[in-house]
Amino acid sequence: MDKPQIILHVQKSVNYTLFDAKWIPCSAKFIALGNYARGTGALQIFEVSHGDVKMVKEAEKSKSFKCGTFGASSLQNRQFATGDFTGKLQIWDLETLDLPIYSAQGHKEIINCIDGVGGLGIGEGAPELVTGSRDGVVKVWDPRQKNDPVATMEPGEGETKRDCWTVAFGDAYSAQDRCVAAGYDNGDIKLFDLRSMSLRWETNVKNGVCCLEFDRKDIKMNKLAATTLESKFHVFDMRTQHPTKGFASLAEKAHKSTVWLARHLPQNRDVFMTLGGNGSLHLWKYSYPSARSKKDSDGVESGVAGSVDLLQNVTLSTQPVSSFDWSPDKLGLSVCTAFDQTIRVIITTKLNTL
Amino acid sequence: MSVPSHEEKMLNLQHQMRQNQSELQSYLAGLDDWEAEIKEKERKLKSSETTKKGDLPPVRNTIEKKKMKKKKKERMVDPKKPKPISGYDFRAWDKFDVDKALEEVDGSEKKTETSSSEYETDEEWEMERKKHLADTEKEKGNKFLKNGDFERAVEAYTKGMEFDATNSILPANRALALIKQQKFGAAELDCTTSIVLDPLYVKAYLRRATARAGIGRTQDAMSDYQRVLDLEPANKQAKTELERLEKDLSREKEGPVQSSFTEGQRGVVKPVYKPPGDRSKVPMKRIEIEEIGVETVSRPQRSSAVQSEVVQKITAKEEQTFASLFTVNQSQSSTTGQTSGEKDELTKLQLNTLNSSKDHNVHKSNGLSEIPQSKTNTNPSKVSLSTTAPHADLLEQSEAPKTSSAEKRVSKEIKSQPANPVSLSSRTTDSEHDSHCLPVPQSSFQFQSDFKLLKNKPDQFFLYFQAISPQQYPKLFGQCLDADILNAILRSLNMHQTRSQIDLFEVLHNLTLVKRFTMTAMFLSRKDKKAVEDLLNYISEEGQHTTQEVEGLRQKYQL
Repeated sequence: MDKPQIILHVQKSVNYTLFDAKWIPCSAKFIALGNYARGTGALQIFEVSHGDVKMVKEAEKSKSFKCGTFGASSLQNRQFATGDFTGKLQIWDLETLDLPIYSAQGHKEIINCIDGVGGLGIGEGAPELVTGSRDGVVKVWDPRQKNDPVATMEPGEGETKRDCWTVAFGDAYSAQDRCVAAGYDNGDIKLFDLRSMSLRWETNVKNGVCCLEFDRKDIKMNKLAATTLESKFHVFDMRTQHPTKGFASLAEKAHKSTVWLARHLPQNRDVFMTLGGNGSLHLWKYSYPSARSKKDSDGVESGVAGSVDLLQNVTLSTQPVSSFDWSPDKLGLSVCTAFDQTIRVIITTKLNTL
Repeated sequence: MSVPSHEEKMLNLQHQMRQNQSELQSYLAGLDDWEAEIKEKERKLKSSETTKKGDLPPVRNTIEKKKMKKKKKERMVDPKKPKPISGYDFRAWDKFDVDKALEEVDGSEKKTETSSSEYETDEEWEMERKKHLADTEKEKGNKFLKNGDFERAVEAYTKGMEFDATNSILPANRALALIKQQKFGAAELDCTTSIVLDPLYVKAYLRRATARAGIGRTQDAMSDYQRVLDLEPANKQAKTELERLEKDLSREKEGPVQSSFTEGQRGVVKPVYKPPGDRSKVPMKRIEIEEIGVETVSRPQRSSAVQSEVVQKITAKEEQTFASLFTVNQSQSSTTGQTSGEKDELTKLQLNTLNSSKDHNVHKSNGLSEIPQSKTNTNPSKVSLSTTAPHADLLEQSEAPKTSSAEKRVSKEIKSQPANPVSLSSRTTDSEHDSHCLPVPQSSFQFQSDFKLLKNKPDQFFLYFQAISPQQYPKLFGQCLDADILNAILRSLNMHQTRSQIDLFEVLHNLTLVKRFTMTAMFLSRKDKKAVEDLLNYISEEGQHTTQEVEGLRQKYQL
């Protein structure tokens, strides 16, 4: 009976479509991104204080924002990288939002997703950003290099370009090792190794991949969660790669609609939240099998998938949940945005007893 | 007594709810504490000194050479290692255990082997990566070569050589591709490079020989084949080629064969003469020569129809902030930065604004909005100009307190500039009668840019300079007086000393008041000093100032 509770703490309506919300590291503030009906970009900073959220700063920009991350910024500077509808990658200093401190026309079409690593003390090596776009290209950026990406992953000539819906960094446990996982609208998941600059693994999960996330970016690849259309999500055990079979995985049905997102708890990598197209939140716990790898008859190792248990579920909105972010500083605190133009601050209790 | 099961359930549920409630309450209380705590932490984070994180790894996939880190020389003497025994200490040598020493040596070798397989430093890792990249380029080149795509093969090898300049195979392979393209000269050079890198590389000698034979240096080619035979006495290709070349050489000595192909220099096209009857009857074609490499200023047409007013406002605001940054760059590289096309457009636009509306607002904000206007308006309509201009004015005021001091300074300069919009346009259109339009400068920046224009027109410069009141010099020349400018001033004063209406003494005196004048005076050439001398003589002749005053000036000019 000692289940965690998911409780709506505060909610706030806004007058624009919300696409992303992220906690500002080392603060009780978060940033919300979106677009106004007139086609401009919205960027607002809110602060949680005494059971309420107050807007402390806002800016309206000419282009709509789609996604953002703090992943490649130092904790000191806390510079926010955004991707917009026209394919521009920009980095903002939150103190002065007049002009971006970095701007590059990264893609020909909308940047769907962005992720960062190497900043905030998370992940070894250089600070890097990765963006995925409708033009089918995944690009890796270094904020120290102007205009040009440091690595580009695009379909070869003649291959059809698939819409890239999600990207995620992982495996950044040493200065050189780093991986990028990318999910596409046709169900492809590709894992690029940035050290050897090669495609390390690819698979297809039949339905469009809405979200990919490693449980941790800064350790040797451990688990990768992939959520898809048609109310399914997969968890891959990334520790053991079989030369032909790849990584072991489990699939689970949830939400009775598209599973938009999966977000691992920063304080416990085996607990994660999935967000559904019907406005529901499901909290899961992953349990490892007794042995994580086994040897087949030829003596080749392959991974063994574990299992997931649903801890709690709650429906907060009638519209799909577009983003969700756990506070890195306070266990159980999270913010989520939905297409009903509402920002919700959510509290999850008893996470420390799991 | 026993409780019925449904009641027990109810009780449990109640208990659970109460527990949840208390859990949440305690969490919320904790949350408030945390909020205060994190605020404090954030404040500390902001105020704390920027702690630079140690060296970050280099930017991925950059080819530029990294700064080599100085490796700490491992000169530390291993404490466990015994001191070397002196050659004269025979008693110690008696005790020396040779087997043990040998074992130790073996052990240390093993250790170094294992450590060298891992690239511990970034440089080593970088080097290894580049070598790897060079290898892949070589593979690519070989593939192209096999398929007969020599040009791309050359490209691939060139890239490979950029990655790894120490590889002897890459230049040799490029030479092969070049030979296939009949580019013997370049091929020979590449072979030489390869041979320098690896003097025992037979293929490079063979290819150089082929290349040399190709450009007619038979003797050199033969010596290369000879060298191959020295290295590999059984090399068939070298033998047969050598024989062939010897035959050719002897035949040539007997009597030069008249052949149109071997005759003459390679690479020289001689005019072909044909009798009029044989000439082509096809009429001459005129081929348009297009100039490439010159950028045409084409800007994307924006779909302005759908954009609402707010969008335009925001876009305009963003562009203005960009523009203010842009103008900083402009002012620094004042004349060279812009392409002439842009300039023309700019002046036209400005004239438009001036003609269309004599509105005061437009005049004032002209400077700030000039660049956004030229940027945004692909269809330069007067209406849109007059709508954006007042905005600019408003924004300028509202944004001023926010912008940093540096930006403020810039905007000030910009503000002072547009006081003479005509001069700006005239400067770009015709520079003949601009001195009449150039007003008295208000800032050192303005003076500097005017000076650039008038440098080579002493008459106009004199008129211009005359208009500046001497009291303004210290302010106008700011931190230091450029030697160039001082020279120009002195020269023009000297030229016009007789017909000047200005008080020469006042001018010279005020010039010395500019900051760091003594520095500038030190750089005066003899010619300039002569000019000052003349001027001072002129002043003393006039007799309006005492000799003491003139003497003081003389000292300041270090005469």
